Amino acid sequence: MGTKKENIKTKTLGWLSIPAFVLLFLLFLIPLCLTLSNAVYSAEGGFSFSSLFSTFTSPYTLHVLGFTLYQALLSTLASVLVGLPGAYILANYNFTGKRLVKAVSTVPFVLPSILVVLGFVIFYGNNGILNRFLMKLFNLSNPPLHILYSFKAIILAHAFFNFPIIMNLVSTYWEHMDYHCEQAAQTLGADSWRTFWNITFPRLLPSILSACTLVFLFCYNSFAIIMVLGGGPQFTTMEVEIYRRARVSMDNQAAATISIMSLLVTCLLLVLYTHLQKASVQREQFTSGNIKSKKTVQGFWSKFLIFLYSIACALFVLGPLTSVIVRSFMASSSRSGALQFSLKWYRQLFGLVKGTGNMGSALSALQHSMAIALLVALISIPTSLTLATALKRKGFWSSALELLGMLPMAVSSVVIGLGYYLISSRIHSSGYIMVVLAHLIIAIPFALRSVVPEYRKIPPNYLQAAHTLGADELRIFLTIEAPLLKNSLLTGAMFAFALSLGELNATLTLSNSNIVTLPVIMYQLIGSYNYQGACALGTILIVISVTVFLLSEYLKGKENG
Amino acid sequence: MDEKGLTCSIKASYPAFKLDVNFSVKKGSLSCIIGPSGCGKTTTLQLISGLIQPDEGFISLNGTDITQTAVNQRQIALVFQDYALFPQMNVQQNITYPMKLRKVPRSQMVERATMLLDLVSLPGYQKRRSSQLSGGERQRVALARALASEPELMLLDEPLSALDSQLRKHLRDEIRSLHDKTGVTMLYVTHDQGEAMAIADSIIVMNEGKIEQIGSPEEIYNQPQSLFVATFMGESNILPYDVIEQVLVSEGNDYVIFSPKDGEQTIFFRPELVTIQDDMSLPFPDYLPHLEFRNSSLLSCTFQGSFYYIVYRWQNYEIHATAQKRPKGPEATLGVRLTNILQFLDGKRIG
Repeated sequence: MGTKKENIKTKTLGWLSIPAFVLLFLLFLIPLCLTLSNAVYSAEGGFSFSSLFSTFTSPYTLHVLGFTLYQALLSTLASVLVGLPGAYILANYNFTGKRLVKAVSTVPFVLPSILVVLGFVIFYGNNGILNRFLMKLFNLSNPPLHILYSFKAIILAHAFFNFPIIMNLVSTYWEHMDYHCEQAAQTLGADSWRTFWNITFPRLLPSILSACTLVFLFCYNSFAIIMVLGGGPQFTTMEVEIYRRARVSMDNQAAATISIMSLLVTCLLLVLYTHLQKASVQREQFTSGNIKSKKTVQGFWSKFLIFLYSIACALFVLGPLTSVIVRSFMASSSRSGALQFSLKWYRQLFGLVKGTGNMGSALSALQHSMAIALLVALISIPTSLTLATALKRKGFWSSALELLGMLPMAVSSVVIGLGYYLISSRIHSSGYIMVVLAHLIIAIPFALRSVVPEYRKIPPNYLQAAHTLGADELRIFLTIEAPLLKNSLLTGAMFAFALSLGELNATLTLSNSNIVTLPVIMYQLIGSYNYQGACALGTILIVISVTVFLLSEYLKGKENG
Repeated sequence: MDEKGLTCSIKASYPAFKLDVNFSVKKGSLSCIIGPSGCGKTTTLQLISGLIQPDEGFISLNGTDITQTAVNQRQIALVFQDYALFPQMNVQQNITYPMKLRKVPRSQMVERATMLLDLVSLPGYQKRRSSQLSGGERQRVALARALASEPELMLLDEPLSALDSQLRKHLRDEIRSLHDKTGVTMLYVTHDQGEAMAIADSIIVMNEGKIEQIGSPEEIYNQPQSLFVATFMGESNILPYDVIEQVLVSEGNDYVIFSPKDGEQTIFFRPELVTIQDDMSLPFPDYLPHLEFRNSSLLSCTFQGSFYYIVYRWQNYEIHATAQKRPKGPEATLGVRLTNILQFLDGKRIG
């Protein structure tokens, strides 16, 4: 009858995961402890909490914290406003272009933030494509939209980045909700509006809140968007403040104390997130049976609205990206000449022509970035596989371990970068090895997120069958579990690759000027107003990110089909 | 202990119930464990396979004590209700998996896989994926895979319950013939008494973690040792013992001794043993000592295909019967031979 299945102990190969745990632990804890110790030990070697205390009570840091929370809240609200209608449409209707909306909405998941920044500058800037288009259309002499380098730009960019998260998480949850409750409400006499408010919305709420917490966490930790699009010290968040204190004012102690403060907040958010997620999983028992069939769109206005949303969604997401690609193929022939098609930036990038300024190191940055990302991806495969063996089982220890595995998500990449910066300044070495280690710590939790759910999906029957057929545990792991996880491991590794390739926050915080990666060069190019050069690098990032995304979708499709 | 076959005597307790079973299965036989859901039959299989450990007791297989043997060393194959075919492997890879573990040479593996596929009537299925197979085909592959491990004992955990009834009948006969061809000892769990009676050499009836009765299908059906077994294995009529006084028809009175006892005493008989006299102009067809329930009124009559299932009311009791023809009138006299009646006292068989 299968009721006693939980009694069966298929022993896990716990020892397999020990090296990976030790690795993760050391890579994560050493820099973190160093950061923490910097907060309480002053440069002269004295131990005191005074610095911590003064930071926690200083009006300036409290103001920064307040602003960080405020912009994260507004960004989350904006993401919900844009994302929820999409979630409704995706979960309830079939329409032409649905696949496009779905595909487009997954794009920002894999985009590095520096690319978003660049896209925004190119698309929404005063001299950007949108403004020029509007100027031509309405025959204006001045750009009508002033979005960039302001609070608006920050919120808009965060919404761009995060509305797909809301849309995807909520619509997936919505789609899989058992529809019998709604049908029951309607047979009991509730109209469709009442059914939504009394039944559907309360059931959706935990999933909305959990998606919101995640988005809030991302916005809280946002770095490149604030640095560039905020355009000045009046918009400083905790992350930016940590970076400035460490790398501009060279005050490690202050940077460390702010890190601790920021860490406390993100830990709280993460606890809230795990709690909400558990609540939403517990409340609904997913059934595959009673899933409602999707309606086709009826009536002109609904068709029109859905069409409008799809177009807006595509424009909102694809506009900035397309303009990056278009811009990369343009150059002005003379100092003030009009832009025309040119491969100038690619020639500079691939070293065919000597690049000027930062473009000179673009090729080596590309090579370095590819090498780092490849290394990170390769290491992430065995690490996430063995870590997953420990995490797959539900129980006290595995949930404790899972939280530990998620900790690097709570600790922002700037804080990790700061830790590695402190290490490299101690041992007077700042090689690329530090970058690889920092990227590993950032990428592994994401790789794990792709592997662990798949691991948990493997029916215990497979392992029991293999066991009764004569396989021992190691054999089962090698011949049954690992092959079944092949695709999710590959997906995880590709995400690690993409993540490492686009990583800016930690890299910028830990590196000195002789370390160049693709995003760092892009950041410098944007800083020196060489947008076309940045666009050429950005196009390469887009191509790689989109390839990774398509490959992972393909693997997912193969798994389901 | 030196008896060939499976002998087990195991105790295990769980939050919901206690399991305490004691039985043996002859080498080369096909035995069924049957019982209502939650009676512990699946748990018993898992204990024997070694996937879970008993609190106390022993399990011996062909003279060897295997209580402490690891699952993968036991030579006991388990066939699952949901097949558990490895999805990343094709049919042949699934079947050769246990042979690979036993380091069988490659050429021999392929040959044996082909032979096993022929045996389960799936010739040429080597390269198929499990996702391309129907439920019945999957279960055949699972059977072939289990046989490929050359088990000393094969456990089958409700192997047919996910299939539709037509296919279930067909496949249960195939499992029986598979057993006869290979001679492997099989222990088969089911909750379907028809399935158990059709294929088993012996049946083990379980209830609430305990064994109620072990015996051949005929013994279990005709000579149940408890009311539970009697009612679980088929349709039944249960009446209080004292009705005998009113309905007994016996020519030589010395033939029957009416002997009521303390406790809940009942009589039991199967519906197919009830004779219906619905034409009062004819004499009652039975002259041996019997019980006669006069003036029974017809409650319902349902057509079952090869017979009619009829329910009468006699006084305050319902009496179930079967017949080849639809009853002619609303009233009838029902008769049962005394030799067809079983007696139970507090649920246990007496007399």
